Amino acid sequence: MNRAWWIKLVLLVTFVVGAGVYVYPTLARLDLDKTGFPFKKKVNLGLDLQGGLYMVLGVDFNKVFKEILERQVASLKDTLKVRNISAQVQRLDSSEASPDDPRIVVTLEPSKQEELQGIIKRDLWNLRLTQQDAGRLEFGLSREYRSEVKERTITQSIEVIRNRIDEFGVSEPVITSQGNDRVVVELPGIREVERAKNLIGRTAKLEFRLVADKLMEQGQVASIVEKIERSQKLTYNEGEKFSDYVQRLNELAKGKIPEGTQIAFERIKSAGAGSADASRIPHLLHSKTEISGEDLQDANIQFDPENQRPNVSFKLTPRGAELFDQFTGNHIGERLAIVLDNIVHSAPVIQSRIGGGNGQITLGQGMGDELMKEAKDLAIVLRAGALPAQLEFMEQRVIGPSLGQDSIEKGTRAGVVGCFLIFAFMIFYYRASGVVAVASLMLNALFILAILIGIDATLTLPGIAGIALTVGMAVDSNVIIFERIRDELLEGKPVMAAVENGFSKAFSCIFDANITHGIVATILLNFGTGPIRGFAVTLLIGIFTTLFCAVTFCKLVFDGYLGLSKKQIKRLSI
Amino acid sequence: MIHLIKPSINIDFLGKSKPFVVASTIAALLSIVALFTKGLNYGIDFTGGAEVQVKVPATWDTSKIRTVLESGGLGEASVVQIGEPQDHEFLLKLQRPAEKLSLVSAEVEDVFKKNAEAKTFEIVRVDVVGPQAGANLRSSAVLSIFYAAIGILIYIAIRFDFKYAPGVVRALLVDVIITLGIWVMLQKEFNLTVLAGLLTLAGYSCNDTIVIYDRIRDYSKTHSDWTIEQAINRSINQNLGRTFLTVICTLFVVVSIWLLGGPVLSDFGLTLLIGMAISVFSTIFVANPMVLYMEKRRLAKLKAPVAGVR
Repeated sequence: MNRAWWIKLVLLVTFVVGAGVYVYPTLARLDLDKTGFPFKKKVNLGLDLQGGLYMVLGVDFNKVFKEILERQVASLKDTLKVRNISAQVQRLDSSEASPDDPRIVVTLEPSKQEELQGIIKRDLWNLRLTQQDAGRLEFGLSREYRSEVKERTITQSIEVIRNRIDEFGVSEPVITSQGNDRVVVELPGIREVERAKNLIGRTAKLEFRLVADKLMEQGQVASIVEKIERSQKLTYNEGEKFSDYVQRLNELAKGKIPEGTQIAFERIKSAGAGSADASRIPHLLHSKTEISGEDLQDANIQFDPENQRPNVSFKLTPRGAELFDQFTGNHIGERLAIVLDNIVHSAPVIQSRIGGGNGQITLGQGMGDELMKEAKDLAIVLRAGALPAQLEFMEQRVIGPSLGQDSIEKGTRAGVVGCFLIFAFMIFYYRASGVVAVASLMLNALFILAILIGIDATLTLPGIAGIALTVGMAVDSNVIIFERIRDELLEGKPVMAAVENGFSKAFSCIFDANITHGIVATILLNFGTGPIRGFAVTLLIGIFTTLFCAVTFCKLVFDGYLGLSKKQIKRLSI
Repeated sequence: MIHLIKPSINIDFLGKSKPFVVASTIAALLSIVALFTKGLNYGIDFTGGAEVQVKVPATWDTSKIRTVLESGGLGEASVVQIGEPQDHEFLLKLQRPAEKLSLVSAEVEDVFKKNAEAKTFEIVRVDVVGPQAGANLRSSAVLSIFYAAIGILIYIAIRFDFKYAPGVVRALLVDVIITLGIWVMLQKEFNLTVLAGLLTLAGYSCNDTIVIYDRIRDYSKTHSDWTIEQAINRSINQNLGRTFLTVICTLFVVVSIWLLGGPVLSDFGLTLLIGMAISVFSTIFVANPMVLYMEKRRLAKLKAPVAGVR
């Protein structure tokens, strides 16, 4: 027996012991907090196995770009006014341009065109010229700027969602981006699914705006809304996005309401989730935001001393407090609307100058417990800050805890039964060599699991199937080798040479076959969602472990058997 | 030694391959026609929509669940019992307009709360996929199979020789397309897991073919006096034992996944089962004649210029 063999054996034993240590806590279902076992890590179970909430959220970039352009339009108008250039500036509806790329159109005297371009180059660097006719110029956001905005929006969204989830208290949440326009949120083991959804999906944009009672009475506003709804057949249907309805309404109301104002609603909900509004009160607000959520320092639940109902009190930053102090001082007797996500929460009359920057948001109707949760969640979203853009739910999957447990049991059972059938068959067909094959298959499964734990990968239900399937396909390598050896033996070669040739001739074939599996697995890895990725990962790991177990391990055993026995071996049990 | 296949076996597989090539081509074409006419029964992964799996009180049956759903305005739903009867679990496929999809789980919970004691029912699983996400997935699903075929084609061309590549890919496509065709016939739901099954099948199918090609490559080096037909036939015969052994072993796993793996894995197992059965034939009777064809074409091309000079 040569030295190389002994070295290989020592290495193998080290690997096996190491893998055993990695796998033991998972298989023995140790309680990691209590156990004295030195290795404290278990395999990560995918959401499909431990239950939880999986969501894919899409960002409405079109809206983000529109908002940016809206601001550009305003600033361009101001500049042109100062320069005394008469021009018409308006935002082009995105349906005409490509949907993800809204435009600004400027119409002016052709002689001023160059001056305009100069201004834009200097002040509005993120605009680029997209079309130029005499007297009419079209601008869009530059490509670099758009991708920059996209990236920033996604990063900020992830950060805000993480803050909210952290305060909500979920162990090991996963919040990542997918592509350049999606956010994936995984919350394992969560029970209050609806609450978590509300918490994450809410934009939570807080604004304080003055109610334009001086310009138009509230009754008049209500009648304008009614008139528009009747003449334009605009109605709000439950389930549609309320913000879309409000936006449509405001577009139609242009000219009927004073410039620089907007209609917003106070919604009085009847009790129960998802049920229709009991009533909506329209308010006419100044478009200008006096103070926004960015000036918020803290938000907490407080109880109204009179009726013990919870509400959310907030504290502004020193800068915000100063602004608030000044603003309230200047507008005593007028109404201040507290607007959250473009919905008016309340619009109290400013009784006196409010210093110190403290205030509170009262909540709508609701039962004690529900209201308490609502107050708590509102405080969380206010503290965590607003999302930079509106998020849309593109995919939601909820897996109940009992289903997860059930899946583990069924998946494992199917895998174990399948593998045992293989083991029995291999031993029946190849006898002693079959035992070696079975050992290599068991090692294979052990290594896959150990590596999964080692690299912090996630085991999903398809992943369990993947391990079983890898074992099923790894058999192929053993079979190829053994059949080759048999061929060599039938040709009359001595055992030693047959084994040597069998392994070396089989290797290229095993290698090629496994690489094609690798190609497929890589594609699956890039394509699939959570559970499927788990499958692809086990397949990929399986390729390496199969090459190792079928070739290195089996060769080691055969060599050991042939080398260690004293007498010349004439027959091989294969 | 036990032998499943006698080592002395010598069948002229190439000579018998014609009917199989024709049959597989027809089957594949029919499958493509079926795909475009009848179409796959796409699951919500690809179409968008909402599915809720609920455990209901023991006394409830399908019609009771319907009435309950209707009372909450969720009437247009398909209700199917799944799993063991004693589990009282049902799968609800709800028809909701896109903008209300995200409310589905809340709506279902509300309706059940109004009609049953809190502890007697349970929402086991909710899957809601927006129409856009579904559409995206469908296009990338097709792409993924396409990329897999391309990737394998390139690898084979590099590792073996270009003459081997078309055979592998043709056998792979035959396997995948006919399996899809059978899936259309069965009108079973086509979801992400089935797609993963198809891709795994693609890998398996090549694996099978490559093992035989490896032998052919070997023989054309060691026995240069053999004709290409001889080399191919000898390779298939030599490998027959291995082919059946491996199929048997893999089928042990696949069948137990199909029968014991529970609802999610069962379709995955079935996809592989169907595909592997086809793969046994396509490897022997489709992939190998392609090598012969490519080799003959190559030889013909070598002769062609000489003919041109005359």
